[in-house]
Amino acid sequence: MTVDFTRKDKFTPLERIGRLMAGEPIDRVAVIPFALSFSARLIGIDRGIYYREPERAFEAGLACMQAYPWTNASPTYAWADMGAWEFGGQIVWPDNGESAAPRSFGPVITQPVEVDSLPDPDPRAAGMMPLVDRFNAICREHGFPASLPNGTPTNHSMGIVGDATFLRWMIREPEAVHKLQRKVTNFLLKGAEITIGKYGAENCGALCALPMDSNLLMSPKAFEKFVKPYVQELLGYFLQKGVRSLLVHLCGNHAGNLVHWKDIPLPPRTIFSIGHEMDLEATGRSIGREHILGGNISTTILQAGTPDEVFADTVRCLKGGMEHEGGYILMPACELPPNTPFENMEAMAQAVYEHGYY
Amino acid sequence: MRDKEELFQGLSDAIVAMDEDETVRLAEAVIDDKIDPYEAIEKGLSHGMERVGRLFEEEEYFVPEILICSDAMYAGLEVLKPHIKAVGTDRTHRVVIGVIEGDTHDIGKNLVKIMLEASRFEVFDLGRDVPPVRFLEKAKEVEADLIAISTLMTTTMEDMGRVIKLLQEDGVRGKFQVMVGGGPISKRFADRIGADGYAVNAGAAAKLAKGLLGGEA
Repeated sequence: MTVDFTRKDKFTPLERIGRLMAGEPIDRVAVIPFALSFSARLIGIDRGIYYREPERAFEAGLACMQAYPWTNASPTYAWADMGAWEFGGQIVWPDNGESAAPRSFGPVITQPVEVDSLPDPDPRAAGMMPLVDRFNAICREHGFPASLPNGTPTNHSMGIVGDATFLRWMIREPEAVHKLQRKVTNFLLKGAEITIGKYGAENCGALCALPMDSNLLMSPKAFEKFVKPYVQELLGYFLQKGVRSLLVHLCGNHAGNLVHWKDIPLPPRTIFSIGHEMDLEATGRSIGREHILGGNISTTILQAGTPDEVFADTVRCLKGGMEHEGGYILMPACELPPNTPFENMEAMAQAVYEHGYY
Repeated sequence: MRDKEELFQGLSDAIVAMDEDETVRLAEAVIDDKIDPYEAIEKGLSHGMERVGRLFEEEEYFVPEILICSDAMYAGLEVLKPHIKAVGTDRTHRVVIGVIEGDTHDIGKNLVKIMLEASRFEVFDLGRDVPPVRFLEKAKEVEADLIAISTLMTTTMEDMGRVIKLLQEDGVRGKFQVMVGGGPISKRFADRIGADGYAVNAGAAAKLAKGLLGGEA
């Protein structure tokens, strides 16, 4: 590490995030690098191994904490393309760096009439869930929170029928969309119930990422009709059970959906991280001082930009985010690209050191 | 005999209204009335999809609406195309399109394909997860004018540049225009890898393709 934060920092990353969550003053912005398989490089393993073996993913997460002690990196295990595997389909692993993360092999069903015949999978055995549970067990052994089922029902539903089919059904087969979302929501609720029962709500956190619900794909009206009721139910359940740690990742452009989040039950100090398509200041105004803003360094710049470009984009984010009264966390606009050059991480650190103190 | 301009307008309106049955009915009327099917495609179906593209840019329509409109367009094309007489050496511009290797997200690519076909480009779709060399091979095979490459992933975007390098190594870079697009792609990135153009969305991609190839499809 070339940037020596100890010369200016008054708090450790853990103290800093704790104070931020409590709404107390802090010395500088907290940084969540949103690193998943980026960490695999730090221990020299392939992305396929990282995702197949949650024990190695945990080890990689610890290595990321060690490599970037100025951040709030922590072991994390998740991917976005879910649903097909859990409901009877197949998964393709990202072996030999062939893709960024596991992905569905193809849709499980293609006709509306088939929705009724979909199985009701057991969350203890279906798809990625046993792997997540293995990861959760290690996390709890080491004092980290367990993860509740991530994503929204839409992620799973699009995995089950394919994204284009799901989007067509929104207009042609709205009842089938609701049936599918209902089935998936039941599955996620059951999975959450098992995880909370095993580890306790106070030891669980949730990442609610919404890559498929964005206005790049669907209208705010479609979000309200086909997504919102199920997200309300899922996050309402988390809240009712006592889960207090929630990160909502608005992946892509959700500017038109923001108004609907006022009707979705959230714990205080929910973190809203946003994609590069959204504006930090405008989003901050919408979520209000009760919640924390996160984002949105361009992932394209992080991977393909020069260190100077990374520095400049980080400064843009700091200027846009640090004014938010509810508090701000510097984050990439999405998962840290697995191939991000290490010197670009240093450029981010330098920008935080020079411009990230209050 | 119905007024042909009214029929064209009806086709255009049916596309915008996402009315596949009405599109087919009017396309059949075009054939029954012995109206030039090529003109009906241009002034009816393509015109309708142009309006759809504008509605998409204005955020009145989103991806579900475009997909249903395009279903109507393709249904109309099914009726009209068999009746088009081959005209001399007329040749529409040819595009080879695909999602680069390692990426299977193809909604964006499919939308670009729809808008290109609506603009009367002949599109050769390589699908998703396409190795860079396949773009070169297919473009040479079909004597394409343009190669369009898409990706949603940062992990695969660099391979778009690999396609351009392969074209250079093969000595055919000058034969093909290359345009790129997708979630993480920017104009700056397109310039860096030596692409000829970058489009931010499907509507812009069709306009860019026309611009790169000198106006008309």
